[in-house]
Amino acid sequence: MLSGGSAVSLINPNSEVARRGQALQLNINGAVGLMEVVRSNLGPKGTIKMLVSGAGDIKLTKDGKVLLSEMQIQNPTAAMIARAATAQDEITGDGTTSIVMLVGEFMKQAERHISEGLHPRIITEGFELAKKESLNFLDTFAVKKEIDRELLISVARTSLRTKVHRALADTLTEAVVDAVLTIYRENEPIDLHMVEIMAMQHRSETDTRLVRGLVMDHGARHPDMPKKVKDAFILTLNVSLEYEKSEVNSGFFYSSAEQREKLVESERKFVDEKLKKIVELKKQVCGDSGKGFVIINQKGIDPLSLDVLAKNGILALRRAKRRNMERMQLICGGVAQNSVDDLSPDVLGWAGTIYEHTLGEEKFTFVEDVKDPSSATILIKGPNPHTIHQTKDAIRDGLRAVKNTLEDGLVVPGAGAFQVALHSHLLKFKDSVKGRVKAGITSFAEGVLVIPKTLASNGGFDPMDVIVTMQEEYAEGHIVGVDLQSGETLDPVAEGIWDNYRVVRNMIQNSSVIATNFLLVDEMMRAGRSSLKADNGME
Amino acid sequence: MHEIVTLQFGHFANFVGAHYWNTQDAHFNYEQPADDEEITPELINHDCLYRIGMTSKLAAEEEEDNVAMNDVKTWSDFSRVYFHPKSMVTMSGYQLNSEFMPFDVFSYGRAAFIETEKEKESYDENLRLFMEECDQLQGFQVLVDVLDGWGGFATSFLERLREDYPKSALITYGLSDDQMGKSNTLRERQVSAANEILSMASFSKLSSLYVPVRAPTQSMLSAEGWSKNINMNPSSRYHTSAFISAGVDSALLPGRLRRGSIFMPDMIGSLNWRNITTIGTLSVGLPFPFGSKSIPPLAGKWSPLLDLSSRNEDIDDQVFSQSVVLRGLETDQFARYTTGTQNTPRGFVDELLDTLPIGKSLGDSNSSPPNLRVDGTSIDSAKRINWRMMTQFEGDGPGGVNSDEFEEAKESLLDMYDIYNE
Repeated sequence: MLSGGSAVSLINPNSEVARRGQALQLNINGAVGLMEVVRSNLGPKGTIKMLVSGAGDIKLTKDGKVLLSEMQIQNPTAAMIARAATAQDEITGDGTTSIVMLVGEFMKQAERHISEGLHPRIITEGFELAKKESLNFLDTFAVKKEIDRELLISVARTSLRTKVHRALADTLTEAVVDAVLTIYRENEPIDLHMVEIMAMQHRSETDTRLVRGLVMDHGARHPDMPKKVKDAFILTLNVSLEYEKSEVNSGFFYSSAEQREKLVESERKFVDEKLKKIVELKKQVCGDSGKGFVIINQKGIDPLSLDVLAKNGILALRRAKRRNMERMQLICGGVAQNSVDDLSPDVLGWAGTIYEHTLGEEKFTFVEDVKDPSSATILIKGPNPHTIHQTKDAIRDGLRAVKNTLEDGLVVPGAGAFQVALHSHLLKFKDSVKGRVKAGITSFAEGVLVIPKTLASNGGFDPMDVIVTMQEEYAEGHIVGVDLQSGETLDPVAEGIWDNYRVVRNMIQNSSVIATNFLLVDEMMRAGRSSLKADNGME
Repeated sequence: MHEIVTLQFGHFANFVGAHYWNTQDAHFNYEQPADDEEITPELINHDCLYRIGMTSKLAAEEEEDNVAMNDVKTWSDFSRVYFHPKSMVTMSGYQLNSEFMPFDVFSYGRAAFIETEKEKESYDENLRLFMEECDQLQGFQVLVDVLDGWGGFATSFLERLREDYPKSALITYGLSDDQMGKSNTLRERQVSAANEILSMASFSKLSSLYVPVRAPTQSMLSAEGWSKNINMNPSSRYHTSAFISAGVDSALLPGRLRRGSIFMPDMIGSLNWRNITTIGTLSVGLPFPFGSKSIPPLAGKWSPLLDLSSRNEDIDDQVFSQSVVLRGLETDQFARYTTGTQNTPRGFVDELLDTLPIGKSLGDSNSSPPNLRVDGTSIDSAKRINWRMMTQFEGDGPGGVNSDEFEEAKESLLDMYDIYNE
């Protein structure tokens, strides 16, 4: 190693570098800085942030994922943490803020030892040991519970209360749990795409509800079509019902307007045939019974065709979302048809009620009262776009929390209980380890306490008081969390405060890996190929 | 109602689009005619069309009020129309003119599309909503910036669109100007050129007609001819985009007429009648030099029109087919001009005479393919740049240009070259 200055500066005197101590300091500052930003948003008592975009869109949120992906972060260290944290969200749906907090705190704790001259490598080795031990401890600490609706509601509530205000969280809780239970089939993977989320700017966010059926954001395009249909057969189609094709007919010229008319004429006959077949099927199944008939078409239906259908009392919707075609079959039964050649009563689905709801210029069509649906819709209501946004983000996370629980079969007592227990466990574990790596384990153990501390301080309580009481009670053999109403301790098991197992697991894993990486950085330089040489090579 | 759906991708595309919509707004007659037989000054079937304009724009644009027309900074400074709130989509993750995270590579655009769709589902939530409103879709008109990442973004978007509308008429204008791609270093120039080539390769496959359009520069405007009548500052995007938008507006005018219209599928079908010659050019004359005895030749070296698509002036055009739209003809001029070889459907021109605001004197033509020279230069530069890429980057180079993708684009352009050379 050459003394004095960076080795890189010998290769390129203009390089921008930050050397050992400096690089580490930059990383620590970045990590701690980001932690300070999101600190106040952690937990059910956390405050919210207001994000204003250049175009004037406003978002009010305390969801870590939303914050981190929307904030304009320039510091490379902070950007890297933010990316890792949002990756956590993609895997588990929760725990983003916690990861940022943990990384920041780990770095802060490590800094103390490093400034006393300890090599970062020693600390990271300690982190590694502590991480392994933490994961083992998590497996013993997590509770295997019988999964019923009540437990799922507890888990969903725990997750949702950290994202939105209490009243809304409680409304959403039941909706998300019932939605997942609707699509859940024993021993089959859960596909959350089967829960449609539909937003309606109307009333208040606490009117959000679960629709056991489907809500579509469009309605009939013909004034004479029925607005409400009872006991209806549903035909799902992917067939164009347009009199004129809007396709490019290459190599085909018409020399006169008559010729073109003729072509259009034959096209019309073709469409008329299709309409006839549909109308016949309707007559066959409905007869004079007064039952309804509804067409959901993925392709277009032009005004002339709509007219024919309206005259026959058929409600028809055009240009349905592709994913709704699939859902329609799951909800109402029936088979989607790509042509009208094989129409028979067997391909029809059924729904008890189909009705249209108009809000200003927007129309919504509800398909409800269905038999044994395997897909559901959560209908979000809210007075303004930012409330709807907020609710939508929260629902996504809530759905994920319920799904995780069903798949894990394990839950972890929340409200900071795990972190307090882990802290005390790691301190014991430290004594069984020999050598300087102890310092790393201590840093890790102190680091995890940041979660209950922040929970308490966001609730307006003194963090040290709360931690000490919790530790004392834990030493007596209880599982204790922090009660954010009173500042006292509570029993998360009795209160039904549960965290997802996989969220906690990923949180420990990811945060220690990121912190380790940052601690081992000894040099930072601007990367990218210089263009100086290349310019000479230009002819 | 025969709707044309317009999609705009990119900052310059939004400049052109804003002018385009301002023009549509000016054409629009808000009083509906009581009877169709009645002669009304209304020219264009708007209704739906008027509101459809899905705009993807970069976030973080500074809003400034009361900007003088000469220092328009962004398109929203002069846009007069009301946009449906669902017609605007902001891409997530990138900022306009950001040093830290530039949006300057084709493949960044493709990645950004996936990210944006994951979050916003703009295809289902925005575009589909407008498509549902369409009674009788004519086709799509796409404006896209091709020198930066937007080409990739639009490619991914159109691929998605083509799944649902495989045979619809779709015309893409690939826009470029001097401010779009950075060109300070060789690498930046290479990346810009690579973006343009990748865009051309993918749009010529995805579109029924792909028209590269380059903003006019000072040297293109001769002191003689019609251009002495306009006062244009080529360094102002506000000016150049207005010029381009006049061409874009007129090119598809036949499809928007109330009577005697020629719809997009028919028009594009006859321009690209072999269905393989998908590259076209756009030429504009503004104002059109009326006055001569007969209509001047509108293709080739002696055309008074300014070709916005090709760059090499020396090579003679070989035009396969051409569509010309003239606006502002007097009745006697019309008689003079149509006695020649140009064969225009009578009704269509009557319609023009009836309805166009005479005196506006917009003239331009949309001539169709296949300029050999367009392909020729592209392929040359494709070869050259490709060689450089290979020597400089391996695999996914630091520029983020995927060499496989590039190789593929080169192949397809070579194929196209063969088609035009036959």
